[in-house]
Amino acid sequence: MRELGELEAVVMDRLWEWGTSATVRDVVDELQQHRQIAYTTAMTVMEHLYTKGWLARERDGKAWRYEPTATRAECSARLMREALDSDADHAEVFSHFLAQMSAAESRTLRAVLRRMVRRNHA
Amino acid sequence: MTISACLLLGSLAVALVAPRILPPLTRSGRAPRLAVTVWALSIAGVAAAWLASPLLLLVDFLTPSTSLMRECLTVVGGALGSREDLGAQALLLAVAVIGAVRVAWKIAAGCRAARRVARRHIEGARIAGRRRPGLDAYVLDSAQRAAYCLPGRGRTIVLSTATLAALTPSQLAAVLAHEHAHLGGHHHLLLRLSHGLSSALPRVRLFSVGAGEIAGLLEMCADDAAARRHGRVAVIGALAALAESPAPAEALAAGGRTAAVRITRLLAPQDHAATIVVGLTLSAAGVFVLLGPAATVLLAARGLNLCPVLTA
Repeated sequence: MRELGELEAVVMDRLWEWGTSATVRDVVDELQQHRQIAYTTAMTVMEHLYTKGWLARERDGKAWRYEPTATRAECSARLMREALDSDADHAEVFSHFLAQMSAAESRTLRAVLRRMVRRNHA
Repeated sequence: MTISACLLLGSLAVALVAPRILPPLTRSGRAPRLAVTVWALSIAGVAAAWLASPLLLLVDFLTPSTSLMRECLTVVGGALGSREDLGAQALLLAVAVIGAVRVAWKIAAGCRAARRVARRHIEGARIAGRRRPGLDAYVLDSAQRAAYCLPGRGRTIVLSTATLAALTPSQLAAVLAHEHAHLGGHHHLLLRLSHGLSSALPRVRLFSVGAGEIAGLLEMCADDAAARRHGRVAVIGALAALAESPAPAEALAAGGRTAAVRITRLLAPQDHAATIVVGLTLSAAGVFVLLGPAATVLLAARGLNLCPVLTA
């Protein structure tokens, strides 16, 4: 199962890099230069990615052409927003090293730090 | 008084008293692991008593001896008519069952939702994030600083490129050690339970205050674990570096207060005497919460009537 997960990342990586739509055959040809991968495996992976919303597809004759539904940057931004959204019900899913703070709190904190560092050096 | 009545009344006492006496002891962050334990015992004990209340009430009603509940209900029943005390008992039992089921359901639903969100996010980080050699984390391309972990079966740590740029190697190591402490200690279980109880029963101060205190204390535990491995300077440096990046204005930010407490605590010189005093007080509180029910059961089993008023 974990290999399939890793394959999903590799497939998306290629599609993002190419920037155009691609068929399963295109992806398999590319991947087989670096690893053993069966056509059916790649087809399953890309279908999963389509089902999960990572890829969109349209018919091209007998094959499907797949392309990412969003850029990598957009996906990263969405993930960051989800993780930093402290208002949400699921906020406790994410365990941040340092919780969110407002600009005012950040200023206050840095002032506290400067005072304490000065006191420690004195 | 029967065992059931004692357990229920005892749980009520803990629910009322704990949120008043524990915060001054635990807020300073001395002996954080002990503090978390005492909070967890109080919360879990009260929650267990209340979830088991239908069973406890049933045992109480069926016990042939005099009970506080029966006394109260007989008074009510006497006003309503001779057979009404049975109706009142049934009503109380029904309320307890509905309440217990509702709370248990809400907590379970919250846990399910949290697992779903975590699973989806981990998949996202795995696909959109990149790996760097020697770094056991997913790195997201972003100008905003963030470092977090997602617990559960995924056990994933996520960092942003801005975070990596802002931290020195030792500070980065400290951040990773902090996150690993959360993952290894399974803190998410305690956080989900306390958060679930707090949202299911928001007006019970033990749960609402307890959830916040536990969250803060677990951060301090993780800080201590990171400081033990990489030194306090690295942890403080990481906190300071990441504090440089405030959230967008709309974000609900209580992080500042916790961050200030964490940094102050790490910078302060070790006061062993104060820590020992706090530790002993917390231990006493913990013993009370833990042994109270046990002692109650023991005394009641030996037939000692705990309330002289009811010997009539």
